[in-house]
Amino acid sequence: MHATLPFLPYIVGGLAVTILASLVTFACAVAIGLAATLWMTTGHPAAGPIVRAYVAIFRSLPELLCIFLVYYGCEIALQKAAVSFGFRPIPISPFLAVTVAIGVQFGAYSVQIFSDAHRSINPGLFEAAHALGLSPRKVTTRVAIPLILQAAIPGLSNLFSVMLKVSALASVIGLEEVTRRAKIVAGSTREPFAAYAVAVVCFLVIAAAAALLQARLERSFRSTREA
Amino acid sequence: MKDSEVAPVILEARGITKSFGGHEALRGVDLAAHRGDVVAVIGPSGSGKSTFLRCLNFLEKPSGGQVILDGEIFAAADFSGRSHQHRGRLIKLRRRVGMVFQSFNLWPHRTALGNVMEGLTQVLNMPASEAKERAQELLNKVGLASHAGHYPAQLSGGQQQRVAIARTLATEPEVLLFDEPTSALDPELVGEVLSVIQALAREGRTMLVVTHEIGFARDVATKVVFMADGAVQERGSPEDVLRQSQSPTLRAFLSRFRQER
Amino acid sequence: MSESLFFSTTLWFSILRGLQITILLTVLSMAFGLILGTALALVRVYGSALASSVAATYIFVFRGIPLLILLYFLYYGAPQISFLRTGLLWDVLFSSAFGTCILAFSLNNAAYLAEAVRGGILTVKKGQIEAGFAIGLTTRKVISRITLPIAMRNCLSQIGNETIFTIKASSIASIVTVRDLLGQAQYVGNIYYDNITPLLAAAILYLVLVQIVERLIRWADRALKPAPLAGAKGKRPNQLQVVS
Ligand SMILES: Nc1ncnc2c1ncn2[C@@H]1O[C@H](COP(=O)(O)OP(=O)(O)OP(=O)(O)O)[C@@H](O)[C@H]1O
Ligand SMILES: [Mg+2]
Repeated sequence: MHATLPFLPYIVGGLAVTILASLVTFACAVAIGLAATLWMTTGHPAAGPIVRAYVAIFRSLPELLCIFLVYYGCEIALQKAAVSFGFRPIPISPFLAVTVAIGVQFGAYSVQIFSDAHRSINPGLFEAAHALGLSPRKVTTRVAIPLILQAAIPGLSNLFSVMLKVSALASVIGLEEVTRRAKIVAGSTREPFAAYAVAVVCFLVIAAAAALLQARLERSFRSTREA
Repeated sequence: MKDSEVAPVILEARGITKSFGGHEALRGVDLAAHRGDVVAVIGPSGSGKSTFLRCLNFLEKPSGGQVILDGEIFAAADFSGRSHQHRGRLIKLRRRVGMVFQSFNLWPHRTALGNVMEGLTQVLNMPASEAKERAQELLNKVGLASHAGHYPAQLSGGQQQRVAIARTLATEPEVLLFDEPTSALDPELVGEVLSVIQALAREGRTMLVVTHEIGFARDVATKVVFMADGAVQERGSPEDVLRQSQSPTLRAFLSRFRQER
Repeated sequence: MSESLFFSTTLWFSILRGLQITILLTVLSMAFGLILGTALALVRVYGSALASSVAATYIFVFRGIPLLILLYFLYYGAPQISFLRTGLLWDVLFSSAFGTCILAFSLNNAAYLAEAVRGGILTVKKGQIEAGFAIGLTTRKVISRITLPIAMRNCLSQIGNETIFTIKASSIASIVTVRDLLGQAQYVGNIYYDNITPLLAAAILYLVLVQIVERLIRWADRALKPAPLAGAKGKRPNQLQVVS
């Protein structure tokens, strides 16, 4: 325990990386999910099958496998590019690899959240906007997107808390977030119990904060609904 | 049925009170059912009919009063705490006082036969083969022998209620409680359930029936009890209560039905 | 990616071995998770205030910890505690990576399944429970024969989701040297100096496995919910009917 104490700030500091990686990845996933959902609502004949296949595939693959695929895939692509264009191979950023891998994968979950949200909205609201003479683009940006986002908030907040936990997998390809740092400390102090206990506490604090935030969010939502 | 006065009292309620928070749903209800009585309980919505019936088998714990079954006293006070001392007695009381619910409450994961067998195997500890035979007989009695293998979701409301009656009969209760057994049914299904209940009445079974079927109260009941505001307002023979009574609340209540007719 | 490796029997033979381990990890940790989760759900719903809050704390903690950290904690951290290094517990669970994975996944599944089962219990209709009491069943029998079976059916699709989640999450066993589907794919990749091809093959098997499980769940859901032949209708206003 004594050997671990000096490393406490180092491990806890990893939370910043955990949260940053989760935020960027989450933004990716939301963008993909929203775009795919809006594409489906245009009624384009290819949209339905493509999005459904995308959801089915990425819902079934382990996150870890996706991370490896992206990581090794990029590595090979970069090597080939380096050979043919004659530059020295640059290492792949684990941050980028995780963002891409988990972003694309969680995009599939967010498609489900958004399309459920879209379905829950009274279609009369869109018709009213069209009837007002708004252009289709304006109906999308000023009516559809805000309404869908609002209806998707509970699902998305849930997705984000899952994202925070999944980000621990990024440690496997070297992203220095909480898990990775705990592992490094465990290796050098020979006190794995203490090092991982710190990591556990870090995530429990996050979970507690998320639970409080969610409760407050729900309460404020209920009060606006009732108003 | 005229000799019901001389038959012994089987189920008696004495001063049953029940309050939900500050609201007094029952304000001291007394009632005695003799063996073979068919007591129709009528009254406006919210008058406490269901609550009273549920107090009789302690699905609702009364706040005060006693239920006396065949001489054995079950006092509200015995069951008020979390004590387990009287639990065995409660189970016995419930076996001897059956209840049929407004919304059937069949168990969706059991077939009609399975629903009826449950009480036989689990309460009477009957071996499965014997229970199956007995359950089949009971289904036959309510006219559903051919539906033994159906799940509740595959039965009409009237059929579900008849299975529920067979399930209640399985433990051979001495008193049957019915809480608006036909109110959840489509009008065309009411008859089949009422005729089963009527047949049970003819067997001389003791029954308390909360009902809005005034015709049933008039034709089948031996006694009618009118409840309002958590208390019994009128009681007597169907003729006395339904035709002769001068009580303004009862007259107003009955006139609603006359108009509907 | 190399086509010759992709179509080689060696690759498929070895990752199919990995698939067996993945299935074993999933089945065992779902079974243990369901047992513990059901117990937690029962305590949560029927237990005393104290017991219920202990169960709630368990659920909060194990839902809050990333599975990988839990696994590291149990695999690397727990052996530091001396009493865990002796006896049956050590032999069965902590001494092997596989045993530790089962433990970690089961503890994690229990937390999620407890919430699912609790939801299932809370959606059992009050009247169906009362009907059990009304015929004279004991509380224990009402719970075991009526409430729980109905609750399990109510949350079947959530149990299915959790199974799929476990199939995917079990891939982290590869990090602590278990040769599950992903682990085996990486192992083959290292031998042939080709990381991508075995991963793609493993991806296909994960897809197939999840599809099969999804179909099984849907089939079970339908098999357990008998199609209504004629539905019961909602309550009608008081009707006056003369007994014939
Ligand atoms: N569980 C409960 N909690 C609080 N109040 C209750 C509860 N059950 C019944 N009540 C109240 O007790 C009163 C009597 O209700 P009860 O259901 O017994 O009436 P009822 O005569 O059966 O009416 P109906 O004809 O509509 O079935 C009502 O005012 C009701 O609101
Ligand atoms: Mg009622």
